[in-house]
Amino acid sequence: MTGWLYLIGLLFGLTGLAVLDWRYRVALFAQPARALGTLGIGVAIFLVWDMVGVGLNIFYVGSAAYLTGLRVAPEVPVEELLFLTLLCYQTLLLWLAFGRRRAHALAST
Amino acid sequence: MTYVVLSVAVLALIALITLPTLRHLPARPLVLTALVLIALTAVFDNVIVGLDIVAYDDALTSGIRLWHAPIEDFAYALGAVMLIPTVWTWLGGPRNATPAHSATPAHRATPAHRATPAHRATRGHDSEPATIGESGESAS
Repeated sequence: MTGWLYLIGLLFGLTGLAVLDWRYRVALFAQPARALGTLGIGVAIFLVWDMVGVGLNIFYVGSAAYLTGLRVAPEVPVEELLFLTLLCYQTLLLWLAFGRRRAHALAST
Repeated sequence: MTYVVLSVAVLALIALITLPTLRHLPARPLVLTALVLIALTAVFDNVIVGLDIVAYDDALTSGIRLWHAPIEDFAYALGAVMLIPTVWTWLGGPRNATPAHSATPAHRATPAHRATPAHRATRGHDSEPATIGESGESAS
């Protein structure tokens, strides 16, 4: 059961972001194709970065009490895929939300 | 030090690709996003390194850590701030600029646009409501 904790935590975070996105129509719920494309390309680039780090033996999967053990590549657990998605989605939402706030501020002056 | 070199090299490569796009975007949303992401990374990274979900070969890192989190991990936050807005902008095309980008000229243009009748005529889809507005004004 503890093996699923990190995965569940990541899914919990992603769900939270998706709810906010849905409520405020920021990215996926405003321009779905563009948001999916952005996240896909972002995650792909970060995965390459990860693989280089793994290839250079800089980091590796820890002692794995909280990991499912499912791998998408050597030393790249399935959780890393979700973590990178969370990072990219969080970035996109923050940036679009801050941009929207700025646009409102400018419009009201 | 290998991890420092990798992080700096990747960030430099990302900067090279994204800066031509980023310099045309408003700075404030990018800076605020970076600050929030760095704060979130400090919390999240400490949790996953502390729980031993990810581990590092200490011989290959700088050894500089914010509690558990290796300083190099913050490169991911900086990389994301450069990459994601750039890709979003690229995928938008010229007519579909980012909200941050397009809202400014659109809102600013409105008063000036209404003030000069010459502008109304040039904008096809805007001319109809503008004409109605004008006839209403002249009638009153």
